[in-house]
Amino acid sequence: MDQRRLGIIVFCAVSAFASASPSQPGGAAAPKPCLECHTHVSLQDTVHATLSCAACHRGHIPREGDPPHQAKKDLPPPVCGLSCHWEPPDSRPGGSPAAYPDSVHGRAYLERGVLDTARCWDCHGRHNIKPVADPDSTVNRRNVPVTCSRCHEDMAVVLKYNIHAESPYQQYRQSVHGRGLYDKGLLNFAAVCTDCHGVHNIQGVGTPHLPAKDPATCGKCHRLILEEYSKSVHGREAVKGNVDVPLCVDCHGEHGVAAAASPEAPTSKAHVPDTCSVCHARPEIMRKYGVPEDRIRTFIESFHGIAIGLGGTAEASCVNCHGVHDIRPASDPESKISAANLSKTCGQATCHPTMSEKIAGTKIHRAYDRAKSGAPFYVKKVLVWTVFVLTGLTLIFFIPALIRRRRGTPGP
Amino acid sequence: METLTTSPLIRDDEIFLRMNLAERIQHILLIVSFTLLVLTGLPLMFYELRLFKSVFSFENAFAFRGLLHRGAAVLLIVDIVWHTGHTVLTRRGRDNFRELMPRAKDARDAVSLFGYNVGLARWLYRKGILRGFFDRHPFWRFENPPEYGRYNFIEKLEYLSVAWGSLVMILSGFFMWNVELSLRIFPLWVHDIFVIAHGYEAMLAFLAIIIWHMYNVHLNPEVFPMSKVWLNGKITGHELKTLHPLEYRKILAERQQAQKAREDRSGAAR
Repeated sequence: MDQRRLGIIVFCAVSAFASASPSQPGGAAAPKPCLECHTHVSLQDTVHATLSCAACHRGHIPREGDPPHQAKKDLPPPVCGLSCHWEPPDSRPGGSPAAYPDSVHGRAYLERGVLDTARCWDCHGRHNIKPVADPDSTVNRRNVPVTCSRCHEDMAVVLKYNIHAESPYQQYRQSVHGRGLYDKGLLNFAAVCTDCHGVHNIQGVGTPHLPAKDPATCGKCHRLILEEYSKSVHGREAVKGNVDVPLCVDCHGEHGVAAAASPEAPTSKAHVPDTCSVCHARPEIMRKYGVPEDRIRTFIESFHGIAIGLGGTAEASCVNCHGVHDIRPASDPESKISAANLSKTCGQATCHPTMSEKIAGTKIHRAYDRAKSGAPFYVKKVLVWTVFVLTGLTLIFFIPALIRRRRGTPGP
Repeated sequence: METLTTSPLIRDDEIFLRMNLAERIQHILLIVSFTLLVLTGLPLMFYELRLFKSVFSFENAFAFRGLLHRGAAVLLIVDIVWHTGHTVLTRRGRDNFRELMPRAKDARDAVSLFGYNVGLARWLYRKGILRGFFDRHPFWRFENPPEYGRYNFIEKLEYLSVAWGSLVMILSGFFMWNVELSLRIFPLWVHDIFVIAHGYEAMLAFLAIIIWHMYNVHLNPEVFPMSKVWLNGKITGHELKTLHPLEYRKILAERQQAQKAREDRSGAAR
């Protein structure tokens, strides 16, 4: 073994011993003889510029005669939180690194030994770690979605671990948040993955009261909407922790959240009835809360519903009458559909501006399929029968004529 | 059918005017407005059909549909006002209207045509079954198809259906167009009756046109593939004789009387 190699081994061994106790970073960049062989690695201009290799790659003490030293797979992973990156788990939004062991990634790695999962260096980088504020950092706001997508857009990973979102990045890229970030450049305003999911404390989809679904999470930015929603028939229950009611993501979607103006949004004019029907067409939920079960059907069969179903844009869908975040039951005097407010709601400038006050208290969701629905039921019945009977009689009348005509006998 | 022999007084190729220019234009306006109304209205009745969803795929298609529907409605109203004026104010119109009024004979004609087409009674009679009854009531033998005047019972039925249907559609359609006015006058359930009536009356009109009128003017072997009356307004003496024998006889009788009167006058002069 030549002199140079021996020198390197000795130096590495010494520095490994030296860093076995917590060492304070800072001071001049230490020379790193390891880099003589590991030429692809450089800690220059990184947050760890002052650290020695063994500060992270501890537990490895090269000995004389090692050829050149142990293979990589035997190298114990760095334990970033043990010596340096420690602070109370909830000391900052998204959780400090100490929250990692309790996160969906941390549990997978530390409890089940899943090596595919996100570990510190999978997000922060291995050697080329930059400060979060640095635009080149993989965990800078502008880069977070791409960093997460490295695993979460990989179908092999998605399938292997049954991840509920299949292409969150692609959906996010088209969403109001993704467009806000990439197209409008709203670096500090457009939500990125970590704003909703957390940072070190990311939880799996099955977690009760998942922060990513919690209206309060959306309310961090959409503050006034949250206030309005919290007073609505849905929000009042949501605040109590009832998950039967629609939370923000139930109507708006998750990663692909789109503006109501875009036609593919679940909150667009054409899709609102479908979105509401997820709950309002389910008898068991409607019965539980004493809401009539036929609301969606009666809407679809109504003039408004038919128009919306055929792509109408001027006609009213659910939200035009009931409100959006401020939906309240008709019994609530502040409701848009309360007896006092109904004529005003129908009378919106683009709808029926001269709507009569008489509409107050009128049942709007009406079906004429039962005798007790009154005169229209009988009118409908008579007309349906008239159509059938007359058509039937006509066919009976014409069949002999058509047969005769086929036989070639003349006659009208 | 007792064959009408060709009389020199009405040649087979003589041209009679069945629809004058005003009536033909009224008819064309009716075709245009009716077709537009059906095309733009039926989707609301059969809104679940995928076909209609694909038709309305372009931007503002549904609003355009409404505009077309109301435009066609105005056209229909104009047409009906014109036709009513034509019917009331012209001698020809009043004459046609009188001919279009239903009579007991029309019901008899309908039964008789059906019986003739089925041919069961005729067959029974030939087999000698119920001969006594058939001898006493020759009508029920249905030996010949019925003879019609200027308008047969199918044409009368169609005309009256259009008249009644238009009345219902225009009234209910007016209140649907002006829903706010309607709801100031009526409670919502009355307005709903307008909507229901508008839909089913439309179905009825559509079926009536498709089945009765299309049969009468296209499939009917006498005119197949299409009667050209709606284009040139003319029918020949031969068509008059086969399709409207009573009208033919009436004209023939008038001419015979006129000829006789002429002969009498010339005889007296001699």
